[in-house]
Amino acid sequence: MNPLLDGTRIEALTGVFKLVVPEIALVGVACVLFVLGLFTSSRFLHTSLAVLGLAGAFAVALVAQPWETTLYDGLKANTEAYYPILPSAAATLIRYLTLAAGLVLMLLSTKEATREIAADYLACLLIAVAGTSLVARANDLVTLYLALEMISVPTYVLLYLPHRGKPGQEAAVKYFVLSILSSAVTLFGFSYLFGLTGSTNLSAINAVLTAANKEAISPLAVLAMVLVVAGLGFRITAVPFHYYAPDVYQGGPTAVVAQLSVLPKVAGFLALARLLGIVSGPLNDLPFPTSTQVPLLLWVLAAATMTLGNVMALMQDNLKRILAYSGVAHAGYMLLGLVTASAYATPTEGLLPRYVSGFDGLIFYLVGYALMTLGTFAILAYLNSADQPTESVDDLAGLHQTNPFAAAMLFVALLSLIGIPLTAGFTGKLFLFLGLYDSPTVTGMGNAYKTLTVIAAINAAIGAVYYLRLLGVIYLRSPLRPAVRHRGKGPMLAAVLCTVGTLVVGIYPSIVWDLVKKATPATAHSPALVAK
Amino acid sequence: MNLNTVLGLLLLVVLLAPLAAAALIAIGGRGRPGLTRRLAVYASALHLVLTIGMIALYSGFVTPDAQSEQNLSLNFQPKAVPGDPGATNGAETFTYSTSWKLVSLTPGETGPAVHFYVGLDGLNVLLVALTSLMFFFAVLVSWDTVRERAAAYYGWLFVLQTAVTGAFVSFDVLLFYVFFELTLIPAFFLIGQWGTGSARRDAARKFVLYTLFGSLFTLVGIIGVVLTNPIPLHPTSNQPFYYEPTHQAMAHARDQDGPYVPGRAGPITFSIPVLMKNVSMWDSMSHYSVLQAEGRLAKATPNLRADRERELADVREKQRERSTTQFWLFLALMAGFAVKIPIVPFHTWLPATYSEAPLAVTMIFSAVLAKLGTFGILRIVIPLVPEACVQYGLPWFGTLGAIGIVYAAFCAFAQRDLRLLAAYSSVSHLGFLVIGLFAMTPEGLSGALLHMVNHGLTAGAVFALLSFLARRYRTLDANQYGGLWAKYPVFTFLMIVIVLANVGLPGLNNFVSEMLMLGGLFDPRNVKIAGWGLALVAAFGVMLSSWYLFTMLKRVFFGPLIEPPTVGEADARPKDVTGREFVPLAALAALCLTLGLFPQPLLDVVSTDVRRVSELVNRARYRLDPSIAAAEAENKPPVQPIRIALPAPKR
Amino acid sequence: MSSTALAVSVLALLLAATLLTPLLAKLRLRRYAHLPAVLAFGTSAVLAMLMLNDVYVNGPAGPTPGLSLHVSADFPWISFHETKLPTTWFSAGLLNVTFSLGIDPLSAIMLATVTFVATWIAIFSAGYMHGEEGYARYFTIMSLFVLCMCLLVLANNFFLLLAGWEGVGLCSYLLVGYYYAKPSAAAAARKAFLMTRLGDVGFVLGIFLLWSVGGHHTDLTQIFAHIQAHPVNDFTLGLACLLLFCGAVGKSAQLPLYVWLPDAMEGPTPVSALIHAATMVTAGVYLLARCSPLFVQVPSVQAYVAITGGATALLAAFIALTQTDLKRVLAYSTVSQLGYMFMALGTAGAVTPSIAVAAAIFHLFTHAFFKALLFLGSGSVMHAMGNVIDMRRFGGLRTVLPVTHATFLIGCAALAGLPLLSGFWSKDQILDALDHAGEHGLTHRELYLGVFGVAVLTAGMTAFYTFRAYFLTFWGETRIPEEAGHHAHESPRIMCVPLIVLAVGALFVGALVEPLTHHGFSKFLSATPAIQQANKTYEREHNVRSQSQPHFNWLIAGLGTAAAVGGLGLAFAMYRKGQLAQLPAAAKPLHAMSLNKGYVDEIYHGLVVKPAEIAATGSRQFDGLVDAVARLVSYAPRMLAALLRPLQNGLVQFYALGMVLGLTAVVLVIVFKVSR
Repeated sequence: MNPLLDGTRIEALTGVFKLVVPEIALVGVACVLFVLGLFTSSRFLHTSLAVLGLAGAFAVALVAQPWETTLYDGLKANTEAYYPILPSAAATLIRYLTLAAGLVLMLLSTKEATREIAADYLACLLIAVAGTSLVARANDLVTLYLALEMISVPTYVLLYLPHRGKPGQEAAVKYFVLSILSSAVTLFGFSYLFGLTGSTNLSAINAVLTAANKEAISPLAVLAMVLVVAGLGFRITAVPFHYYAPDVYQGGPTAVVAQLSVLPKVAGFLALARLLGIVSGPLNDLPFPTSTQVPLLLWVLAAATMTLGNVMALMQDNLKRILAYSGVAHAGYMLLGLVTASAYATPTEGLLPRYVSGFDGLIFYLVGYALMTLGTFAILAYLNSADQPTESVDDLAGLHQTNPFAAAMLFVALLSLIGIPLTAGFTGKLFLFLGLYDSPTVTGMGNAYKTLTVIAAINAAIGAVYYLRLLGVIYLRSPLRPAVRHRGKGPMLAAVLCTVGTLVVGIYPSIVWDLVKKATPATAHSPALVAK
Repeated sequence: MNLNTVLGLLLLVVLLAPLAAAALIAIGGRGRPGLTRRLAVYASALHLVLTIGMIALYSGFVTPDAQSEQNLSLNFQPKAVPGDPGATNGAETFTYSTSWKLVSLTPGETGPAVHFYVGLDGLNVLLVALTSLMFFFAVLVSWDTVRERAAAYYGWLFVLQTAVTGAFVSFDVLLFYVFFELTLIPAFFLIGQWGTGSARRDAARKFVLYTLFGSLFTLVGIIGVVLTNPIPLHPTSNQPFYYEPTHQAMAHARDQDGPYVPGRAGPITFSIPVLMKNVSMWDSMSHYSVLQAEGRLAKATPNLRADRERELADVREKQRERSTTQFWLFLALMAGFAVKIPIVPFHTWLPATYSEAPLAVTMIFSAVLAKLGTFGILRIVIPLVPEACVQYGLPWFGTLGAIGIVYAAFCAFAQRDLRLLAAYSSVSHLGFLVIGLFAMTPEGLSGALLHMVNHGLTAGAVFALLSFLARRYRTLDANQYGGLWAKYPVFTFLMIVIVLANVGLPGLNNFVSEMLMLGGLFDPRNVKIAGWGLALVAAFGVMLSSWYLFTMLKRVFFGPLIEPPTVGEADARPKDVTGREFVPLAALAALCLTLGLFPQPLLDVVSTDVRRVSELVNRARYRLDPSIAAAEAENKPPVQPIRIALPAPKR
Repeated sequence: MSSTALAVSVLALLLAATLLTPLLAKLRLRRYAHLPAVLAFGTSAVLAMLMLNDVYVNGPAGPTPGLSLHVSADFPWISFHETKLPTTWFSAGLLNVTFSLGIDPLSAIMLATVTFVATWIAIFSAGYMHGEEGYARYFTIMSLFVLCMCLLVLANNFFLLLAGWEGVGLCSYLLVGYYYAKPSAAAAARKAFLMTRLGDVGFVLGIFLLWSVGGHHTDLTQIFAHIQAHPVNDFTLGLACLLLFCGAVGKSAQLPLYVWLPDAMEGPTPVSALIHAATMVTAGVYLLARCSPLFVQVPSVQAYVAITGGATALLAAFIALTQTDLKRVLAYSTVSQLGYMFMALGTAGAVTPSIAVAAAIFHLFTHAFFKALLFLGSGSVMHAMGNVIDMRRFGGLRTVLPVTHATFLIGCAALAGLPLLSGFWSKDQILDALDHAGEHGLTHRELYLGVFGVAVLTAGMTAFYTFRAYFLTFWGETRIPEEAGHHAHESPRIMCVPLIVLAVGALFVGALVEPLTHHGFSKFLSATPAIQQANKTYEREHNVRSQSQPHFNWLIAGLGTAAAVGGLGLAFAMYRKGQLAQLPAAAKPLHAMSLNKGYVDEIYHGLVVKPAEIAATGSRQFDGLVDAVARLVSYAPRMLAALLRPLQNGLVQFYALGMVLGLTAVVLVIVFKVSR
């Protein structure tokens, strides 16, 4: 049957724009900014416009949410309706997250986006934010690819924008070349998926693959998935697709790197989750069961990524390189969420995640990760200045004496990165570990999930080494250079927001966890107790 | 308001007041060291008074042996639980949980959640008191040794106090872990910023990393225990199903017909009291089903044989899996505690830390922080993986403890630095404590618990005494001292008292606890496991401790007077113990004597909960070795099965 | 007052003295610091006599006939009314330790002896220690010592006994190290404490072994009763007894743990008199006597006890032959005499236990008098000689110190066992018991005969070295060292009176209590429930009847006398000039051996002390290794990083290649192995 002849699908295609109004608004504002930048270089004007754009998008998102929810609930019942955009609950949550991240990133960049480049800078940022949000709701290979490129392309521009000499240029080139390569790989994988299933719609692809893989696994399907994982692995800095990260982080402007460390990761993980079919469930009826290599591949990827990231970070002296590897390591932790989710991707009857399904842990960790990483970058951006560059570890020496407030915020962010209790990092790790340990042992993977939990615990300990080194430098050494008054209200505000967020999510995780649980596929709870 | 509510509030105050004090001092005392230290002393003294008041109230609550031999409930039954739904109704019911949820794993339902579940029971009440006391002394000892950034110092010290107290009073396994980990942050700063040695930064990092490395395994272990021991549910309804086969039923399981219907796995729980009950239930069920399957096989007709064999293999496999899991969980849980205590060979962070940290902090480390590890064994490890503890506790960790006793004693003897001597001496004594814990008899456990307090007092006192020397001279190198008796008779007197307490002289505190721990090793079941070797080593360790301590006394206090150059102006003549120094030292010495002569009130406080733990362990022993059960059935009243329904959680 | 009340009053008095003395020092009344001790000791002695009388008159009537007059003290000083004071020291699980006192003839005799001797020694000390800086400290520790000793004697609970046991050890440590600035005193104090503690390791383990097989009781009487009712296998009981004996060996300075006692002479001389002669060191003898119901059941352990005693007696006597330090001679003689007592104890079971135990305790009793006397006498000599105690540096003090001389001579004669003096009677009983065990004993007969020979030989040597010391000190021409100043004179009256009192005791007490009262001492002692129980066990096991009382054996007495007179004569021949005699060349190696104390200290140093120190240093070094291993583990991630680092070389082509290679690897794996 020809899907084009189906009336409901045509309706779905035409009605799709209603679902992405905030994103359209963001892109629209970006276009206005591009044009406006040609005529005026008033930073106030540009910034206000960008903030207005974000606020407007937020407002629209709020307004649209109830309607989207109703629609989504209807769609879930009607599996035949293949919308190219799927307003899943997770997508809604991610939209708020990216908008918030966009605001923080905007604050963060106020120091670096000088008057001349402000308009272009903000416009690129808005497009990237829109792209990230779009990735979360893309339900079609084409839409997904478009959304991914909406993140990449502005990033090239952003890396070029501040003329920072050779290292900056080099970073931009590296990112550009390798990003193109990964996009190509992704696209190649997409083509296989299309070829195998005859559809570009992700719901359809998932349904076909799930049905097909139940009987016999097509090697091509696995190959396609491998290619897609490889391509998206670049965005989430999974090993061995992480190579660019240290070099680009080191060379790029801090604010751009901050964006690079968050938005592509969010997008990459969401895209992977969508392709694995774990965004909307049902969780034990997925395209790639544990009898395929995909869960194993994710397992290996997670283990390798966190180990390499942590190990390599031990040897670095450049702050942004450390953060690059730290980002790699945390990508490894977040991959645990996917590993957990894929553990249930088996047709075995009655096997469902009990408390943490993996995807919820992943989203929770993404929130925590965004908070602590952006917080760290915000403080680096705040401290960095032309006469006193904050590049290497030694530049932080004695920060608690020269700038106790910034030191305290960095302290919180680093503790969270280590995973000390009462911070978002600990809670995130707890949920991930809990879900992973709870994974079934009846599948072919056996006790591999429990082993991975132990590997992750060891990695957390290794990770503590370099974060603690930074803490030691900040608090236990005396300053190497005189204290100066730092300027930069934007980064400071961003840092405060992130620090408060880190602590709040750490101390009372229910605030975020309840939302996340609502937005992710329900788990099969053990029966609740009934009163006697 | 009933007594429980008042106590709950008081406990909250005791737990959180140090945080408030920390904030107050950090804000109010900035740049005013004089005010800061006065504030700190007042705050910690007030805290001590509050704690003593709380414990006085609590002990009015608890009457020893209120539980008769027959209906000893196998639960920790904390009192003074803030947010206890039972208490707010004014009823004396215990739900082993609170209404203060921190995070629910399945929001919107009455599913598993992490609660802010704190309370007092026999196991922690003494340690809470010890903590408050030792922090008071630590503040006194710091009086004029800490001058730099005093506000921050006292602030961190009080934060540490909250973290330690929190770990002691937690009844939620994750809450315990949170507090356990939180001790690292203040410790890091206290060592790294106010340390006296040149390598203090390395020491601080080494301490944090080492303990973090261990405790992350503990986290995995905790997750594993929680997940593998859900609340058992009735086979058909969603009611809690605590229906443990009785002791006699176990013995006759082979004669029972019909397959055993175990409970279903219900929701998981983080509440330690519920968990320990669950563990016992699942272990019993698993053993019972194996026994029954064996019986069914024996009675099977030839045509049913294959089926029954498969059934037996099935349950056996399940049981084997369970005990393998328990073994790994035991190791994982022990990892963090073994490092924290520390048990040889995981002790290498200790010499560095103890010699670099300020003496008041070292005092806290040895007196209180080391107890977190031993307390973790008592509160978490033994109740939550009892079978693995029976099988591997004494043979493995008991042996390590024994090695530690001798090895650390030898190391202590060879130390010239008095601080390191005290550090290794602490390791040696803690080895004894570990053996006592894993003896897992009422004597051994009471002794170990009492020894936690006693070791806290004596080890703390040793460091307080060393701070006396450190304040007057630059060095703690024993070779630079001699004949101090002539110059400081009062100090020498106190030192001798504390040394005597350390070597376990009767009439002083350590004697009592060491004898009780030794008694635990002479339990025939333990003799069977570890022989009398451990007892021999432990008793010999007491001799070794007198060897190195009396050699130290001889070198430093006897003989002609030798002293290193004094600190400060040349004409400042160092005096014997001043009034401010005398208070903590004399109080500690007096406590050592009092607890040596009248330890029974303390033992009464702990007895019921210690019996709970040992009774849990007894069940594990019976399951693992039915011959023990049969032998003991004659002498002792049979153990009551767990038959308690869990009250419904509040909607 | 009842016996219990008396016992508790004694303890309370001594405690009061212990607490009061430092208070006096604090109140600047240091001069009177001896008063609490002297008064408390004196009163205690009187109370102890009353108690002795009470036990004698009313007899040991216990709750269970034939067991013990076990009085669970309703705790201290207020046993008259129902004041509830703790009767439990500590109790958890099955380990239940009570403050329980046992009052029977054995403890009554011990208590009386200890307090009586202590009183006179305290009086002597008041003169001897006069003007010392640590006067108050001395009397405080002295009071504490007597308190602990009385506790040890009265305790009916093993842990309470252990408390007293360790307490006297502590006081010994503090008193030996009284002159803390003297390095030799410091070393001796440490040595004394550590060696006795080494024995205590065994003691503690023995207690626990008994606890675990004795129905989880800790009260002595209950353990004995339980073991009688539920017999324990010989190995376990033998092991337990051997472990208890370890404690006794340490405390009572027997082989191999005797070396601390001679060194302990570094303390003030009255301390040596009290602790290292009359009381503390006899604790081991007392312990074995008290536990005789257990020991009689294991004859092999008893044989071991006898051998240890014999070997110690012989070795110590041999070393004493050549010592030039007066106090050391006396110290070795103490070791030797304690060996005697153990020889006697070791025969219990081979002969009627009550006879063996009575012999040992009787010797303990008389020994307390004359050994205290001898030490105090030597103290008096030291006092006059300006603290010089080397016999080569003084001589002929007969005229200078007439009272000391006379009393010292009496002490020597008693120690040597010259007929009719105290020592004679008690030594004779021991020889008799040994002889009996050797001839008619039920086990190990040849062995006891050998021990008997050793005992006779030792008796001769004892007389020799005792009188050697006497002649060297008091005979020949008068020589006075310069430290004594110009007017070396007799000690003041406060010191002479105790000497005279003790001398009277050394002369008559032996004869008074045994031969003149038809073995009244032995009979009284045998009424002790524990000893009765031992007798019963003996009767049951060997199916014989107990001997009711020791009988005087002329042959043995003659043999003992001959040995003593022979030794005396030899000493007279060699040393009557008050000078060290020239020895024949053949005796030189033996002489050197004796003079150097058999090189035992050196052997111990080489075999135990040095290896332990080396092990300690080794452990410290090894600890570095452990740390290095930990570091190595912590470097593992870094090493991995160093390996991986070249991959991050900054070349974008390489990065692309890496990505593609990684992808290829994954794809290859999947192509070759599609599904598992």
